[in-house]
Amino acid sequence: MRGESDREPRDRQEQPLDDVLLIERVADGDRTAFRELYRTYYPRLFGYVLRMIGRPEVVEEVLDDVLMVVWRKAHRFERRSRVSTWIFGIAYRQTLRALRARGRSPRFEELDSESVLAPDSPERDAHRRQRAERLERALRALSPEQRAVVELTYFEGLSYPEIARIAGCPVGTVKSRMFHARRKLRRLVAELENDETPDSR
Amino acid sequence: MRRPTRASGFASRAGATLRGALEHRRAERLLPWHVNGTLAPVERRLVEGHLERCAACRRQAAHQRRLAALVAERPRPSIAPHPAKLHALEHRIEGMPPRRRPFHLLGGLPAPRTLWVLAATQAVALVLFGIVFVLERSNARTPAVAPYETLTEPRSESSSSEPRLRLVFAPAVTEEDMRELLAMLDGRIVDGPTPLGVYTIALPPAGGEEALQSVLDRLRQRPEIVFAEPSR
Repeated sequence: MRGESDREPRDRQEQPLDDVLLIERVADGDRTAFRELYRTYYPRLFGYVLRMIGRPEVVEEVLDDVLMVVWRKAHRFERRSRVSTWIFGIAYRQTLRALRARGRSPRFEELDSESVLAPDSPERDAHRRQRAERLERALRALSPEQRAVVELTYFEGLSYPEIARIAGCPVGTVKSRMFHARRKLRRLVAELENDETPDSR
Repeated sequence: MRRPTRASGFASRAGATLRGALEHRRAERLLPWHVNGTLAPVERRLVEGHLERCAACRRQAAHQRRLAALVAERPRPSIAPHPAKLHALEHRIEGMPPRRRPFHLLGGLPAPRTLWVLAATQAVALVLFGIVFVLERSNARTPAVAPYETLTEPRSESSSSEPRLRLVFAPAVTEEDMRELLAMLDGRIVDGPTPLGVYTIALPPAGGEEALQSVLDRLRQRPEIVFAEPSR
């Protein structure tokens, strides 16, 4: 997690030229470039979509759709935005579409929390698992748009203007969604903090 | 210098309170991005300055750091795409119509390099077939009959109420492009493609001769249209 205060905001940095060249080759119909883009972005996209949707079999379908859009619309990519922002924008919209089409995520009890938290993770710490489960329950109380802002801010570590570009909404909307998300999550955070103080044992 | 009256003193204190409230609201809303380190320097300084003065925001910032830690500590799945999935995706791609789209159909400039390559290719193709096409790019009104009449007559009957034109598209134009263009014109294909790739398009009757002319002018300026002439 980034906390250094003298770092430049991420979206001010130059983006890797490779990504832009890859996209332009994809726009020309280059399958090799497409495969490389796929391999580069797949893990990160998988993580985001999995956290938002929660059902691995649905996640695969959504990712396929995302990559199809990338393939078909690569020619519309404009250099002034980052490739990652553009691809995440596609993933954001496809994820919301999938959630609307299939109804909201299933009740938490139906989920195999193992698969949600990472199928092949060696993580066995019970406390950590418990915290993650409680967090997951709290995050599901948020609207998909609110949850997306929280994920993109704290998991992906993005700036709010970049999140606005991904979500295709004004920056004020991003801040407002985060504000409401924070209100809903306040209790959870307070509870977890209480659990951790020595007095509560 | 005049002493400040009670009224102006009050006003300036109220102003200061309002400013303070606005600053507080602004800083509070920025806290998550202060915590994740992505604020621009100006905003960062604003938040840091405010945190020095506001205990409530300091507590909020601590909560946000806690939340951020919880969210970020979840395991990051290290999923590599399965080769079979990639194959299946490529299969889907192959099932799609031709992909090369060097132009934006509805606005946007084509990459100049691509455009010239296509124009050159087209010119070569024309010479090879020994056919001369008239490429009208000016806005001047065209004569009723093109100087070089080399296209076959349209095969279908022309209904007098529907203005018609004949189009040839550039080689790399996809079916989707054509549909979009036709939708834009509110036109429909009544004949074609002929072996030379000529389509006859009928436009809505209401437009008449003048509308047809303006449509032709517009079409001739588009790089994806190689040929556009009124139909007889």
